[in-house]
Amino acid sequence: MNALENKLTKKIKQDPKANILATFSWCFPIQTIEFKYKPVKRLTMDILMKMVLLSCKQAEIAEPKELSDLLLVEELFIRDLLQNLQNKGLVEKEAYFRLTARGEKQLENGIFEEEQEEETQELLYSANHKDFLTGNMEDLDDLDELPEPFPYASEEPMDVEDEVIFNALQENRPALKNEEKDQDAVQTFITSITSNKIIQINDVPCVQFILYNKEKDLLYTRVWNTLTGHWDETLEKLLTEKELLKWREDYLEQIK
Amino acid sequence: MAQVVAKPTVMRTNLILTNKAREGILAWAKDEHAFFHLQKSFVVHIEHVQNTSHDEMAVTLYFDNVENNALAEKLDEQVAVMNCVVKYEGLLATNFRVLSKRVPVHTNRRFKTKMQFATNASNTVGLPLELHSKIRELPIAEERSKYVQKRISSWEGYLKIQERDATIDDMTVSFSHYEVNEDFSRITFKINGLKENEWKKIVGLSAKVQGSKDELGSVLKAHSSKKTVEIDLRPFIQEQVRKDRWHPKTRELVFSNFATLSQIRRLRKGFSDLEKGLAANANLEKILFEERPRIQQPKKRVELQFDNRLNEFQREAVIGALSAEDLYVIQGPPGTGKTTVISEICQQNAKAGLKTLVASQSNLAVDNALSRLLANKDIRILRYGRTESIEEEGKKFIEENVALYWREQTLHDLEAELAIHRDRTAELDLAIDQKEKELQGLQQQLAVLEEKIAEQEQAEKDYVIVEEDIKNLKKSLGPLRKEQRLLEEKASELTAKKIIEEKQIQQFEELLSKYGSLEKLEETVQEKQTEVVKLRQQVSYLLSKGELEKAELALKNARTAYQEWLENHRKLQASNEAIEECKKIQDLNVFMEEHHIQANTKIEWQRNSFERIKAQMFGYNDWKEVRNRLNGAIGYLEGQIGVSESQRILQKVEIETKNGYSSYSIREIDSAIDHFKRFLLETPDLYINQLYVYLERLYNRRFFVEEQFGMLENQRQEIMRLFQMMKQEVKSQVSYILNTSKQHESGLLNVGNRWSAEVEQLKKKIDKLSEAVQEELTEALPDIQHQLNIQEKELEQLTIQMQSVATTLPKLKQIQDTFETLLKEEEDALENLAQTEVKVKEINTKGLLQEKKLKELEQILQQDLARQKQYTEETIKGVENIIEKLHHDKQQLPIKQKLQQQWHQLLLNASEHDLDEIRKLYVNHANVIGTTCVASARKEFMDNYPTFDVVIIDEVSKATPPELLLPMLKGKKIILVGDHHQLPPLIGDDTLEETLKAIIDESDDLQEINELKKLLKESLFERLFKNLPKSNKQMLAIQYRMHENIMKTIAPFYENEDSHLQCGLENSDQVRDHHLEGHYVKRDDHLIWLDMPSRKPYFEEQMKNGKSRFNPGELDTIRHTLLDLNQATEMAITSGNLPKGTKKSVGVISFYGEQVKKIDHLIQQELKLDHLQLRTGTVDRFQGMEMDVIIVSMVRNTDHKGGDIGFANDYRRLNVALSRARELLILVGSVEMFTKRAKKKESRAMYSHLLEVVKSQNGLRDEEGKAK
Repeated sequence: MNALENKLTKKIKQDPKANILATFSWCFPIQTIEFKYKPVKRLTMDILMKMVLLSCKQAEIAEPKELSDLLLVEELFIRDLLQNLQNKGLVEKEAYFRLTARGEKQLENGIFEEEQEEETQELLYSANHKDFLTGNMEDLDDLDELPEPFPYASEEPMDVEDEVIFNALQENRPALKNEEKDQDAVQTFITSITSNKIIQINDVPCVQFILYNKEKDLLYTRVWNTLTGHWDETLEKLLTEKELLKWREDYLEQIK
Repeated sequence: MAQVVAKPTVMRTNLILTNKAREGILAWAKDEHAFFHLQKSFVVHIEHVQNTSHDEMAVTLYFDNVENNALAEKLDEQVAVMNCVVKYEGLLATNFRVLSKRVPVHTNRRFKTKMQFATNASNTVGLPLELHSKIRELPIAEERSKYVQKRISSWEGYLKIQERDATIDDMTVSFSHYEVNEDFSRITFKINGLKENEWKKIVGLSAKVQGSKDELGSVLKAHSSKKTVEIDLRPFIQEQVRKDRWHPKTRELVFSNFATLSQIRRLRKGFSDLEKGLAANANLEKILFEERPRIQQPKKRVELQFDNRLNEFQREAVIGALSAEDLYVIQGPPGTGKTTVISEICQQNAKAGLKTLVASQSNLAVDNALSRLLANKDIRILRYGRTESIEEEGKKFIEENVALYWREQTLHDLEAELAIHRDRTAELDLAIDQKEKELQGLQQQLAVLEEKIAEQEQAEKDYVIVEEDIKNLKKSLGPLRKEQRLLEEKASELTAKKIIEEKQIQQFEELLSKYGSLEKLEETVQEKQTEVVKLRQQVSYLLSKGELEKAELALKNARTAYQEWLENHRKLQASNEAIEECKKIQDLNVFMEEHHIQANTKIEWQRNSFERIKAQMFGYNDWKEVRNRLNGAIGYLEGQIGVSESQRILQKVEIETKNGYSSYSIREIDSAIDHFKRFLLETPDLYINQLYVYLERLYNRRFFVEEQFGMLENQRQEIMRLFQMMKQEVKSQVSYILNTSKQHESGLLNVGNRWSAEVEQLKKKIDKLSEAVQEELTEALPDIQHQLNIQEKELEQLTIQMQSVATTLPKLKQIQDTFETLLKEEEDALENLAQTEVKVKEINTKGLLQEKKLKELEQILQQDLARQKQYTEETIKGVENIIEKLHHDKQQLPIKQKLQQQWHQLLLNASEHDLDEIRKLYVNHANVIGTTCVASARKEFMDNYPTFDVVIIDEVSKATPPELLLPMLKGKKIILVGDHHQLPPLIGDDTLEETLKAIIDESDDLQEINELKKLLKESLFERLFKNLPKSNKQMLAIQYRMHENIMKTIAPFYENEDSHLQCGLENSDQVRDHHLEGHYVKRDDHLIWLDMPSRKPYFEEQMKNGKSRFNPGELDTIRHTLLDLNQATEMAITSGNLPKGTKKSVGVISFYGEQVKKIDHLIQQELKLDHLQLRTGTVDRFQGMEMDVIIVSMVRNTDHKGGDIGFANDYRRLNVALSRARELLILVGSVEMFTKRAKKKESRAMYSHLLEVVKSQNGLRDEEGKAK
């Protein structure tokens, strides 16, 4: 920890105007959440096309307008899509729009989701950031001792949208590399979560500097997040908002 | 939307080729026939070119390099160009060549058509007349280009300003170290190797590290003294630095002005595109450059259904903009809802299937405009531009985000739809029920109709019968009518006769009854005659009497006249002797006067001669007397001297006098005589000799006297002679008078005699009459004459009547008999007539009855029951269809609802890929595209969106004409929105004017100065707005932003416009209540001026090495004000006046950048204002923004008179500063400085007016907020 602090101090001192008033170390909590989910495999087909095909198959649609009213999608879009599907020979029009045999097959491939083995993934969630952080927890194990907890530490439960979780899981899936991502190809999607549970809460150490730029009479802070390995904007903002005026009082002597 | 496109007719023309042209074609085909048979017809763009050599027209044909498929393939999409001369026998191609595919084929000066070329020499196709006239109508392209070139050169100055600092070459410097600022947004390098003059130029350039491809950002500041440059970091680099991943590979920094240069290049390209005729609207050049912009009048006003709530001005603007053909201009003062208008126009365009470009000078304005467009399915907004320069409001519309935005919208709509799913079933059941009822009704209707149709068929039969009846009746009516007419005539004839007879009888009887009988009548006549005779005698008597009186008078007069004559005559006779007695001329004159003798010319002449000579005879008596005395004296002397001696002396004197004698006066002669007498008396002893002398002297004098006297004597005799002659003349005159008088005598006597005879006669007549008249007449003559007249007339009448009675009396019986007969005949005729009339009436009544019946039948027949039936049947079919459809819908409903739920689910879980597909669709169909003016000319954008149906440019006054030109080029219709009372274009921190003035001051080049000065005068927007007809412009005059009290401060800036600025807030106090109650601000304050004292620290200060100014005193006041506002907001929240979590938006703005920096520091470093949402900036940067509260720091304050207030002089800047606040405007500055000490008079007036407005609202406070 000291080594890191020294390294960072050195870095900061490259800027001759940045006057280090104080240095702190502390930890913020990070929740390791275990997600269980069953990814599905299916043909890449965008949802709008899928809905058009599905509607043509299940409902009796005579005019693009009806489909537009049904899906609440611009008629122009629908006309475009229907034209496209007709050109490709996936849809034909008699009294109603109907799927051709090819269309049926295509739709089937698009809908049919081959459920995969259940997978498990752990993500790191910080309630202070309200986001998942990426970093290697193992790197933190090297640290000899952990500093005090962060005064504004938050351990509130996870509060993000499903989509954010799906994206995070998708990005971190180790298998992703094997599955090619080209058009009309079969892909694996994560569309639902079976379960999630917090399996542990760790402390992420940070080094905080309180800096002063005399020329501009500027008080500010820098926080190095050891997990992500970057100057953490979220934590800097949080601290500035809470403590800026206090610093001005505390370090009045040094400022003058 | 279906568009009606006329099917392009193919123009077939003969084509003759010169060898040169043929040569050009041979490079691509084996001969021209093969070439022009590549396609049946070609799409060509014809340009009319100048032809100097002939009267023939020349054209250049550009073959479309996309639409001509075969040709495009052959030429690899290059452009074939053929020069031709237009001849009657066809086109004569003089040259053919193939140009690069980048050469534009379509311009607004070319005519696009399909052509078919006949190349066979033997053909007789010729040149179509239509083509000939089309070519003639085309403008000559070079002329238009020259016109544009000439006019646009006046805009060069704008580019010069921008080019001023743009060096051509990149600059490379080395850097020793760098530092990143507190939030990683900027980096500062310590650099080496920049020349002195280059320091200024690098500001604004983009910087990157040598060897890296990532651009760092643009240079914000360059300090030559510190040898540092500060660079605004791009977000990507910021991120890298935070992660400590950004490590420069080299120690060299490259500054490049490619951004500025490419911007200038785009602007220049705009110039040349306009010149080449590439504007979407061919009329654009005339709009821009004609003194009075030439626009096409709107054909008609469109009628619209508005999607937004608009006021009258906004409605007018939208209608006007949509009706306009090529240009519409909207002036929008602050807060007047320009964006609402723009939004409405976009929406209306979208409905009409039109594509709209929303452009503005700044990214902020574009984002602002887009963000306020209503969320509406019809509108698909796309924000085009560099992601990092787009503001938060615009971000959702950038290409990578539109799909998300779209998903959000669609989800929102879908959820609303899902919420009402259950109701749909009931709705459908209800609808089916209704429709079935309707169907029943219709079927009943149909049954009724069928009944009616049967009725109609019967009516058709009846109609024929009734018609026949009527016809018969009409036939029988004819003869009856004729008979009736004859009877009528006869009866009326008889009646007329009867009346005449009756009248005659009646008259006669009346006459008889008046006089009893004929005898009596005769008697009366006789009496009347006697009476008349008597009256006539009386008249005659009286007349004669009158005549007698007159005659007697005349006689008397005649006698008197004779007496008078006689007397005169005698007198005259007697006077003859009197003439002789006249001794003097006066006597004669008196005589003539007495006897009235006129002097004739002779006498007159004699009288005149007499007077003349008499006047000459003056002194006659004196000379006579002196002569006597002289002769006396001489006599005496001769007596004394003796005769002989006297004779001797006399002879001596005579001899002497022959040689001339002396003249003497009478007095002198008298005195000589006296002298001699005295000598005689006084000389006692007298010698004779002594006397000789005297005698001689006297003789001498006698000579003279004799001479004089002789002359006078002659004249005297002449007078006497004249006098005699006059007398003689008078005498003859008298005798002449006497003679004439004698003749008169007999005349007078005759008159007397005649009158005396007349008198005698009359006397006799009167005597005779008086016997007849007997009695004395009392009445006057006129009365009697009048009576006579009446009686005579009566007599005449009576005589006539008498005669008539005498003749009629015997015939009376006969007349009466005739009358009786007539009466009878008439009675018979009338009876016959009445009978006939009854008959006619009968027939008519019958006829009418039948007619009525016929009409009823007609009505029945007229009903188009067949059609009604058909219609009803169709309706029934329609309703049945609807019912069927409803049943179908009902059946489909669960399926569809399921589909919708499925869609909802899918949408919620949309993957990147899904969104990407939607993005593509969305971008394809985007119909409102927003970008900055300059970005609209980027190549990528030009390729995707070459033209727009409508181009709306916002904040026009903030852009320079070359910038405006870029989006304008793309619009078929252009709508400009701006306000020339707000700030003009900004270059750096200065307005265009300020920059121009600076350049003009620096420049020595006269031509350049003139060019630039011209730019100063012209604001494109202002000129257009002022010169356009009313139909093509509109000012928005109702503002909704400011509390009315705040609006009053800017109202004067709009006083000279057509409409005055009004406040559209119904109750300003209510809707613009800030709910704040603090030390500086009370609840009902909306406009406050905190007056700064004229002492340090309230004076302005300047940074040591900067131009900008700041004011520490104002800063301190602002600190306290902000703290007060924060606390007041907190209190308002606590008391429940403001909802929890409210953050008052407060803008702190200043005319000076340095002050803004200090305010920033204050807010970020020294204050914690949790209840305020703060934003700071210069006034210029705040244009277009609005906040609940605005604090304006005015900065300028010096103690010397005539101080400059710099930026604050510009009324447009003040206008912007005052019009940003919704609820509360706080001015912080010195009242004295701005209203009294400022150098410019206009500025003092402007701020004094502002002060008046503030005072009228009791808003003037001192620096501590105490009321002043």
